[in-house]
Amino acid sequence: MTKYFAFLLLLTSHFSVQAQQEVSLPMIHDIPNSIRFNPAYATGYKWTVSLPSISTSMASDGPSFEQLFVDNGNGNFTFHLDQAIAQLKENNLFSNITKTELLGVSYQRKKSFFHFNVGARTKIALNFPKNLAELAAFGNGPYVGKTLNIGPGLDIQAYTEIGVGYAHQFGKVRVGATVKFLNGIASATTTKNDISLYTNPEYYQLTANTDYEVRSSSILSLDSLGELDINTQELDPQLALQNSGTAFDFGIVFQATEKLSISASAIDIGSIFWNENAQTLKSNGSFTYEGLSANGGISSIDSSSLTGFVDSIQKVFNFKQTTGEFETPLSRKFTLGAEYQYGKTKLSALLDATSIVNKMHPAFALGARSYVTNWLAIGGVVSYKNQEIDHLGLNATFKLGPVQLYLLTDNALSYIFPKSANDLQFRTGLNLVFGKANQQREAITPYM
Amino acid sequence: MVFKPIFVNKNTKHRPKHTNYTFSYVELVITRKIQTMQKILNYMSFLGILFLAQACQPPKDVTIEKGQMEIALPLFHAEMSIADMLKNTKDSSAVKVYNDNKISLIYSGELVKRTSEDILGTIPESKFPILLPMLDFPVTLLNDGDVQINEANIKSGFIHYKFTNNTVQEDVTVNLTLVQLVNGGQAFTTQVVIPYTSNLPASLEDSIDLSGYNLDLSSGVLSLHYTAVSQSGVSLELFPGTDLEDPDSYVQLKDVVFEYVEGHWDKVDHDFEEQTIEIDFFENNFVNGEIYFDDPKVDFTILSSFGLPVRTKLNYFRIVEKDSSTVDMVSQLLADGIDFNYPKLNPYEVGQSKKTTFSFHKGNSNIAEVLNTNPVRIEYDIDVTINPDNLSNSVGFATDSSNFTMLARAELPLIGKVNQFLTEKEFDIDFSDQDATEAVLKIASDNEVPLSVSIQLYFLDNNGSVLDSLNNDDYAVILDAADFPGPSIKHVENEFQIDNNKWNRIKEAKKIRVKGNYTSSSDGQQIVTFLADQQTNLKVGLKLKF
Repeated sequence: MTKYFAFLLLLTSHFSVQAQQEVSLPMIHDIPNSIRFNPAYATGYKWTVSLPSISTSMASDGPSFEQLFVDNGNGNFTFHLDQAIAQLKENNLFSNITKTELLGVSYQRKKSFFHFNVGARTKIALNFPKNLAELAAFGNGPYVGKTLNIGPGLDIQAYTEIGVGYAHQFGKVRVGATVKFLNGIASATTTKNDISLYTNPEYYQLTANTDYEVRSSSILSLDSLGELDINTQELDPQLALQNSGTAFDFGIVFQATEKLSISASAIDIGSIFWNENAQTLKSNGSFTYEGLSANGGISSIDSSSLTGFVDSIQKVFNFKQTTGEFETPLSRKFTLGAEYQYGKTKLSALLDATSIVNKMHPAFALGARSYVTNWLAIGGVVSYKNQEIDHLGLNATFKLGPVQLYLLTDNALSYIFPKSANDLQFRTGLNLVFGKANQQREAITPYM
Repeated sequence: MVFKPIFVNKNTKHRPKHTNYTFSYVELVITRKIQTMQKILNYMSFLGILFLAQACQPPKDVTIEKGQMEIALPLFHAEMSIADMLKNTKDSSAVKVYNDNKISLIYSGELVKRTSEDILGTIPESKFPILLPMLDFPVTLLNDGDVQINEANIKSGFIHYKFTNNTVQEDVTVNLTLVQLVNGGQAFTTQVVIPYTSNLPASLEDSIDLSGYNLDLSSGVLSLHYTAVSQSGVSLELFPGTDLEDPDSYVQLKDVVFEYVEGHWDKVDHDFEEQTIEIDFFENNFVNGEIYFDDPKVDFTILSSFGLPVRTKLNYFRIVEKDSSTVDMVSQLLADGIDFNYPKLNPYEVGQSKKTTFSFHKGNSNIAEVLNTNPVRIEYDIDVTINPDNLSNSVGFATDSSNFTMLARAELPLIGKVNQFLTEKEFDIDFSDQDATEAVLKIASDNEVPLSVSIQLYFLDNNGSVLDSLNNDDYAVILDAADFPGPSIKHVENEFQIDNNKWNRIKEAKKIRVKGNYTSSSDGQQIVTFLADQQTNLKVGLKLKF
């Protein structure tokens, strides 16, 4: 158990990205992929074709590498489990979101804007309480007489999406919407994750109070808490067709002045219905394990009783498994943005709230971006995520004829100081852009 | 082929407008831009490699300091009443719970049983004489004259006869009557023919079933009448002849079994072997100390379906202690003997069993004193006397199913006091493969019983040498005596710390010796009553440090 926990801490510390929200791309509208964050954005190009691109965000609000490991020199490190756990917060989130876009096309015609995209997303988010780590690392012995809150939260989703969107300009207001057809590949999600464990000081009776529900589908199955099976052999393209869903993106951009625009969006408003191998593991109530019952006399305890002992411990949480379809909402995202053209520089602000493991996580970012040449634009972003503001993002867009290459990161410092970094975010992609949109968004490509 | 410019021409100071360029020019511009991009990318790649190298540099060696893990688990809980506890002991006692919840331990002796055959003996064929040629034969059956039968019902048997004609050359008809052998009010009578073939003597031998006949011997004689007449009317006498081993003519009762016998029994003694009652409560548990039963007793229960007066005589009744020393019980009952109840002829009680009970208790004996010496066995020897007063005119009965049973049992009511009553048990253990380094044993209890229990555990090696003990000081009270008369409940919690040094010693142990020390309320000075519904809840948990 300790090894697993150490590994988890290592994982979460080394790939920590304070929060999983991606804040750079929503503020760079001339990259066509930005319309995934607000369908009312205009690319500034008449035609765009998005070639395969990838974005990955890993995040943890746990301790960093250097907080966990003591450098003894010569590549020798010491991992102090107790110190590592002391660094944890009451609740600790680890998440990884990967977005892969296979193909995207957009077309601007007068005041209308059409777009289409095909992609895939995976989201892995684990919320584990500090008490769970303490229990795993030190056992319940040090916590006799105390209540440990140990319910982990889980939010795993993998699905493909096909999006079709439309935006229209109404004077200074531009509104857009995208409808997305979703097909689920895998899911494991907790809808309730309250589990507490109390060790009675009288003679160490264990009492669990639970209100816990985890749902899984497709290639993921949960036979019991802590036993997540991935049946890759069952991975079949047909699977996705059995887990379908629909989601919508809504966006609006208001051109307040010639230089100032304000935008808002609601993204991933929808859900997936999971049918394939859909099951629910549930525990609700209060359960107490008082040890073997020796009412037949102490001499009645024998080897068969020990088997019962193990079974009884497992039954403390009294999980019951049911099968049947369930619905999981996507991680909803709400943004509020502003953009101001200051000379050749574009100043942006973004307020983001994204739902991860049943909780909204806010982020705030300020960015500045400028085309230093007519083929290179660079920018910087500072962002506040998960109560920390030490994120410095950098981005660059290269344009070679119709070829647009972009490289973005929300936290360049994590590459410079990886041992103390808490997050990692990276996006890169290639687009083909053609023509210049004939209205409104000229400012975004001033050097074309 | 014409291309529109898409990049600023660095060779011009202003942006060209609608200028046509040749392919080579565009190629040149693109090539330069690509070269510039390559430089930037190379630089970025270099920086990226540096960063990644720093980020991904695998440590050569990582030492994990895990710290100490402690697992605390409840092991078991046992909620039991005294009655449950007593029933679960391997003791031979039975537990009797009275309506008022008072409890007694019952130790029973073996059931002593005597049947008709034991008391009356068997009836050999020789007891029945050859009846021919006598007409009236005085009979005294059973036990060589100790019993005079007046009346008997034959369950099974035969009348066997042989008649021989030595004189006339013709068939002879024999009429036979046994007056005392009656069935349905009619005396037994039969007629048979001795057939003459061509030679003399001519004989006839046969048997007749007598099942269901009554034998009335109240007159003291068995009367046989017969006539033997030839076809021509000649009367014959039938003689046994000279060979008494194989007489020519006779009539005899054979294989007779009575189902009921009524008559007179003379005084006769029957000796029974010594009986014992094992009391392994003390044998199994007792080490030292005092346990006092307030009112112990030994009950005898006798059932008799013989219609005979019987008196018991206890030759001795004594207690054997654990060290084999004996203490005799003293009681006037031992000297006087006890007369049994028995079924009578008047009123007619044949077939019934009559019960006789008597007890040795503190009112008629010193049994309280002798049983409070922590006995392991009771020994007693008992005899019975039939017609103990030797009344000559007494008439009794016995049936083929009559029997006489006697059961003795010692009853130890759980009313008394216990003072430093010590017990000791040893069990095999093996902790050698345990990974734990330290442990905490937690024992909690809720006790309604007016008895405290203290324990000490000793861990022994193969030679029985003590390696360590659980409690460093002495006995630890795990159950505190409830107040008497109550109701009362006492809660106790004990925590036994087993540090690494102690744990290492315990891991070497092969046996564990559990010593228990029991004392009733008020330090064993108060007589208390243990009730069946008094509960004890013993709870044990263990915390292991790894």
